[in-house]
Amino acid sequence: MKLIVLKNNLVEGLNSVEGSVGGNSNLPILKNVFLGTDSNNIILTSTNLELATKYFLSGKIIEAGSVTVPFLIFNNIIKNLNTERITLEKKGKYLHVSTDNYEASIYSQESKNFPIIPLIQNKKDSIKINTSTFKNALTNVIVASQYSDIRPEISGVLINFQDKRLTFVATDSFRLAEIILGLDQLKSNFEEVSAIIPLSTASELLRIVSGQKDSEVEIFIDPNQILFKTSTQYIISRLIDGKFPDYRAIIPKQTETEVSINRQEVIDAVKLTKVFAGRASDITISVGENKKFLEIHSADSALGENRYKVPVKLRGEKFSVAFNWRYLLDGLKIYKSEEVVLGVNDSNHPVTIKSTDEPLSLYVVMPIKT
Amino acid sequence: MEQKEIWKSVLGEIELQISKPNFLTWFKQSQLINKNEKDGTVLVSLPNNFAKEWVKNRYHKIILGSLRSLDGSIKNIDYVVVSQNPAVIQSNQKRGQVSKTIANPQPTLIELKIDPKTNLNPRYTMDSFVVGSSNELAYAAVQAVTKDVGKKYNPLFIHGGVGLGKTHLLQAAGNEIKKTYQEGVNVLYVTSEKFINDVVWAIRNRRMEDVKKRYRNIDVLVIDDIQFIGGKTATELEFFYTFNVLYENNKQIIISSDRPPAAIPTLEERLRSRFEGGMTVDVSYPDYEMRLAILKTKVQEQGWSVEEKILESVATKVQRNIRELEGVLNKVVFYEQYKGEKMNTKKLEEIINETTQVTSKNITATAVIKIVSDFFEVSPDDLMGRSRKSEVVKPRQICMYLLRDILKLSYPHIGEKLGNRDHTTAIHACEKINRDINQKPSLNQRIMLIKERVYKDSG
Repeated sequence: MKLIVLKNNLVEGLNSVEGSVGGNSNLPILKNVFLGTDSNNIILTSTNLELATKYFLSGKIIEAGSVTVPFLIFNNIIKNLNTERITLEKKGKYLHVSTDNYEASIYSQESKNFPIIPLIQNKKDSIKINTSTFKNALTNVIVASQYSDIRPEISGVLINFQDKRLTFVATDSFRLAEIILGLDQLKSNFEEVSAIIPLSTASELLRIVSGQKDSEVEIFIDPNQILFKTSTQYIISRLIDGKFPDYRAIIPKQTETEVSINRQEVIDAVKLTKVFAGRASDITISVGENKKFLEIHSADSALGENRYKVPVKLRGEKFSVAFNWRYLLDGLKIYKSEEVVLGVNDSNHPVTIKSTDEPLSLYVVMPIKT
Repeated sequence: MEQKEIWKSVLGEIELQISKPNFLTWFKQSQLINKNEKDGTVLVSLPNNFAKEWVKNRYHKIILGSLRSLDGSIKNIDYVVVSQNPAVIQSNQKRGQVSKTIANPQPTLIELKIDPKTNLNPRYTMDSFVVGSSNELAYAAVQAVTKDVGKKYNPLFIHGGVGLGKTHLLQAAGNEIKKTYQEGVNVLYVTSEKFINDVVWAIRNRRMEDVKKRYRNIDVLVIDDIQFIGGKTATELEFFYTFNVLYENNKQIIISSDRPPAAIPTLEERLRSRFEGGMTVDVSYPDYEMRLAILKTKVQEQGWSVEEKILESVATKVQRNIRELEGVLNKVVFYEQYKGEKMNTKKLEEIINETTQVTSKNITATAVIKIVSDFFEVSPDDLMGRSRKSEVVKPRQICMYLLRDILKLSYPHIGEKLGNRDHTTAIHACEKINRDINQKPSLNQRIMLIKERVYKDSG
């Protein structure tokens, strides 16, 4: 095998496969990166047996072949090179990396021992979304997700295509975020499909697609695995086996009290008032008798207390609920519009955060009992 | 040879031919799940797609070779992915501890499975309720109520011992009514503890009106374990008012308790008479056939495969409590499926003892005698004496039965403890009570109460 590639291309490729390089597993070869050729493409692959990334690298193939070398060593060398062109050649048991003024030979392992990346069976149906739309949806729901040993079925992001809408949902059982995309934002020839992507895969996806603007990601789904295909890479992941809870049941159908708030102002207020939040990270938001101000308040008997007043529009009665300020902040941050609406029933029931400008996003959070 | 055995020896052979890391990574969770006798194809399950691809491409020949040397009729192998979340099994065991260690004031978005409006758990349905002679009356009453809400039997009072399916019936009634009338009726299921908490909360926050509104705006009120309400005066009063409002408006009320209204000592007279004014039905201990039917239903529901023989012996040995019955079954299945242990009589015995026995370390024979004599208001000396008056004989027999049942004392020892009687007297007493207990609910009730005291005093 002999290849000539540009440094920047190779660095980009290594960056995108980095996340799925295996850690401490039984199989040492998982710490390697696979480098090989397939007709006219140069391919970089890594996998930890949950997730695999395949990157298509542009470059000149002088002689076809394949090799696998430890990712860390290879990555360290390539990153620190300062020339543009790099020649990669397999000689005997070694991979030679050479530039005009540098030469290294890395001890390689037989590439036939590298795991085979499984293929998707159903190649016919797919969902196509613009990368930045996909990225936004995923970023916004992933805040509500958290890894849990106890409930693997919610340690991930549910993507569900049904009734011509694609829904992204995540919850850690304290709060829940949902983003809906309509057919104007995507193409799908699935009738109905649903899959739970592991949290680690979702964050890896975010990392990979965040560099790509104005391209498309195509999603293929099998019963137990999923493929995300972009112009330069394939990301293949296992799916979480389990049934996502019927989350619609917990979204309040209506809310007695609705408060319109200036989003940025409340974000700033929460960031400021949280300094006195106690061990439960609790801050209280309330609207008093005069119904003109939202008061954000936190107190700690040992440290002190503070309150912040934000003018609001209120429909309904006065109320007072306490939140974990992080959960509240996460919910406010998923929106972009200037104004958002808090929907409150009482301090024992979930509170919704919505925006009239972004009707397809929803955030639900459970208040803290005080 | 059994499939498991075959696969074990295949794995043994493969282990010799490939490196340990490779073996662990690809074969650790593999299983031979099925053999098609017709065309000689076996089905091998692997934990993920990577393993499937790898095993199929690299080890197919080795596996086929060693399978054929063990069983010549095997012609081909198919591979499938059966994903296992190893975390699930572990965490199920851990769960109990975890929830205790984390004292988090942040409540969750309500248990996602339970309908937040009605509090009903959809798991309980009328269809999944196993009906037998011990509960057919209760079942029929519930059915009548679901057909004719609020008119026929109101209130419906179901009583019976722990773990006999009261909650199942109650929840099923709620679910059934909900199903039939859809949004038309408001059903609310609460445990009496929840009701008490609500009242306490309301008093503390001066929000009694909220509670009144919540409980009086419903069409079907289902209250579980009402006996706990006894003695809590304010709650009882509030419940009494709620009850009256609902009752006068022909709203259905369904109540359960572990004893009949008359036997709840702290219950106010006016509430008692109201409970008794409707329909009172009891669920009692299931007979052998019913216990077996319950086990079979459960096995079928979960799609387990458990030998008939084992089900039969579980049904024979666990008699008093359906929950324990299911608990033992769960354990049996756990041992067989996850630990791969074969069940035998001895192992089964161990499991049953583990599940059903309350620690009787601190209980002494003297303590039991004392509690029984206190309960029946006779002196311990009378119990040990020679009198054969019926007011002494009965307690004495119950005492013997309890010594046998709780402490597992030998018959001669029991005789000796109660005034140097012959062991045959003890045997007779135990058999008699054992027989009567199934026929006389009142006796059963008493024995339950005494047992409760015994365990409480020693705990």
